[in-house]
Amino acid sequence: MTWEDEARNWIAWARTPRHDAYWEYSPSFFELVPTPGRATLELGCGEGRVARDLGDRGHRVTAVDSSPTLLEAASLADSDGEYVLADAADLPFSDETFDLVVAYNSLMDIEGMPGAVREAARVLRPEGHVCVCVTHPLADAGAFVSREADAPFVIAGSYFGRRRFDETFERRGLRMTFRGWCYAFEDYSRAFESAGLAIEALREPRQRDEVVTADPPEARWQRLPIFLFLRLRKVAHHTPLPTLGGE
Amino acid sequence: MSLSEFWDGQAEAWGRFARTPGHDAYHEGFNFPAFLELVPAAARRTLDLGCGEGRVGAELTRHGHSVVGVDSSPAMVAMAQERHEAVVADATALPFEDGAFDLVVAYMSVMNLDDPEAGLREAGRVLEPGGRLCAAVVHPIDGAGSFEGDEFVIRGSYFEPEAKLWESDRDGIRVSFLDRSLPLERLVHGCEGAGLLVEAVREPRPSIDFVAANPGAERRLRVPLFLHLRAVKP
Repeated sequence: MTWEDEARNWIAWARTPRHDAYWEYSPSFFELVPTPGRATLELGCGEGRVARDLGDRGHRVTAVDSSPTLLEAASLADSDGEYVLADAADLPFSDETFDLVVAYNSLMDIEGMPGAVREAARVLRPEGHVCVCVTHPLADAGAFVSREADAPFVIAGSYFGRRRFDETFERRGLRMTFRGWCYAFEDYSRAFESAGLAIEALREPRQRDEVVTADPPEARWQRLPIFLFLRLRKVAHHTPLPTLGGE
Repeated sequence: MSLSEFWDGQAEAWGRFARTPGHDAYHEGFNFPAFLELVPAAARRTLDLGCGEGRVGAELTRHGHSVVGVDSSPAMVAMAQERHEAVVADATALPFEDGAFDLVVAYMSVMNLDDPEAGLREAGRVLEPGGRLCAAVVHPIDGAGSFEGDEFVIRGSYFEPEAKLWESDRDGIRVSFLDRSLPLERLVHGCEGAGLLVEAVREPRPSIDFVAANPGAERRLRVPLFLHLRAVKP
């Protein structure tokens, strides 16, 4: 149970102001999020900062996570939200319960990404939305050779194929190990497609100017996207479209 | 030089490039077969946006589609007319009624348009509700960088890729290419502005047979060269 093992580290990491990219990128993510409906579900809430930010924006949030320690921390920090211990690929909710599902940097951590996407679509009402942030498949495929603003970005391995990531970061006295999966964009697209979700909007956010002014090497992330934001819409399931190829 | 002048000036060479069997291996053996997997079966009327000399429309016609092509180059349209109906028009001002088509195909053309967003808006306008756009483009990752040996390197910006001017000169056929690319965000944002929902995205990889026959193609098992998408007008 990787997130349970890292729960204490994550709580410190996520709750230290301006410690990670959430503080810089989440405002532009919320621009993609529709106005609150009756009920919003968050998948993989962790210690709960996304759920709290949704609550501040008027959403009535139910949030799930598979780590008991993280869920308890989330629940203690927010008396309004409902926090439920659950596996994203097997949600304890009826069909068409929610207007909106949010998955902020969680789809790539879940063992069976397509199963979680299918469950998100199932609990969504028709025409409801799923808002997703994932690590950008391009950023996952390679690396900048240095921290310089104009450092070349190199793909030495492959962009394709589901690959494991397992990396430990130490920054300003905090330590955190991230474990999950990297996917090509097509892998996400196929998961959305088979769940009956179409892409309504997509953003490749750039690092903000004020962050670059304070820390010039961050200009790397104005040349290349580190995250990918998507807004999906649940569309009526058609019978598979006959095409000219073998699909 | 406009896109139209660029292609009009080498239409004859392009005709031989596109019509000499085996010459454009990446089209025949890799890009086009994968693209067809996204293209719906024939229905009412199909528009080929940026049809060139007409090889895409010719193949769709063989599959029963009723095709009209548009291209901004008169010389290209003259060649396409040997194969199917085609008219000279700018992609940003299509001479068709709203909802005139149930399918718009844009094979390796959208990223080269002078105003891609306006072209996509027009594609959306001429589609009927429930109609689909199928587009193939240079993959935004490929457009942002290039191979240096086995490593794929991005030195500039993914968001503002530089056009790549290159020349193919084989078997007495010389053609220049000016390959532009669009970041994924611009492509999907263009669909959004056109009122289209993206329902499928593909990043095709070459087959093992193709790799065996085309030295260098093995790199495309690691870094995508093309991106295909299908969008629907709700």
